[in-house]
Amino acid sequence: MLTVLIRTFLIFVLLIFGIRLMGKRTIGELQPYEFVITLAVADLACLPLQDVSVPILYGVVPIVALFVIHYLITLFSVKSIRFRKFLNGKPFIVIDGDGINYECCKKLNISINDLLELIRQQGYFSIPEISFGIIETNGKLSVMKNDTAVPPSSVPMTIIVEGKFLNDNASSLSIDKQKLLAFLQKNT
Amino acid sequence: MKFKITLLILSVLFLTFICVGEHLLIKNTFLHFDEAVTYIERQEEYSLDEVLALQSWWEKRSRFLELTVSVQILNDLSYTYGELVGAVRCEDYKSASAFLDRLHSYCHRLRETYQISIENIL
Repeated sequence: MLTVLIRTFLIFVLLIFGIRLMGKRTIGELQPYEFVITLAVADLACLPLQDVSVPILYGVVPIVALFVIHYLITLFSVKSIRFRKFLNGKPFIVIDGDGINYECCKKLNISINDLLELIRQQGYFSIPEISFGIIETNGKLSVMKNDTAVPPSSVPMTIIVEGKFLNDNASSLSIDKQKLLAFLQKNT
Repeated sequence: MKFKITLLILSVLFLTFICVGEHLLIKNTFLHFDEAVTYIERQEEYSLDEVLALQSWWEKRSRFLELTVSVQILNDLSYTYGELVGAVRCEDYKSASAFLDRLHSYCHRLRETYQISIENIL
């Protein structure tokens, strides 16, 4: 057990050192390759801790190698825009003057519900409040506020999402489907 | 920045040293072990002194090997060698021959397992 304890301290020190060198970013701000490295490192660190017969180098060598790879990738990313684009992708404008860009959302595998959730997390409860919405390379949504828009007086509810009528939401607002469809046909 | 680059160079040197060192250590150890076992095997009556001398060499070398090879594998080899010593001591050369064959297999398999090859990578 003492062996396990000492190994735990050694691996912990190595991880702290490596993660400090990787820079200060929370899990939600990690780029895809950083997320992969973090997951791999977490798994590799447990290997020599679980089994004393496994040499500690079986954990140390891959962890150090991953940190070296991370540093080299960061270095190349700074020097080359093409490499950065290849590795991290690029930001996408999902909300613009015409509203939600559905094609963009499909490309990013984001549903409308996911997008509305991201918007609400930014503190906005309706699309007209936003001039532009950009999904960054780390999956976060950046928003440019529309200063001319009036914020809603209550929490908006979606009634039609991706062409599907939501009966539960409509009935909670006492909205009749036929009347709504007639209204939409009249006004489009 | 200088600190990080220094650290990067040191890390790469460390990794290179470990990888090359392990490769050479395992290759040389099991090559020597295999040759020594072959030499013992060629004799009509196995010499207990030579067997014990090789065992002593193995015990010292396996301490270094513990850095890179699983202890269970090394223990298996040590147990087999212990059985060999027992068989030679009792002059049971048939059993000793079987144990020597087993040690040959260990040497070959371990060298193959730890060498750099496409099969091992995949």
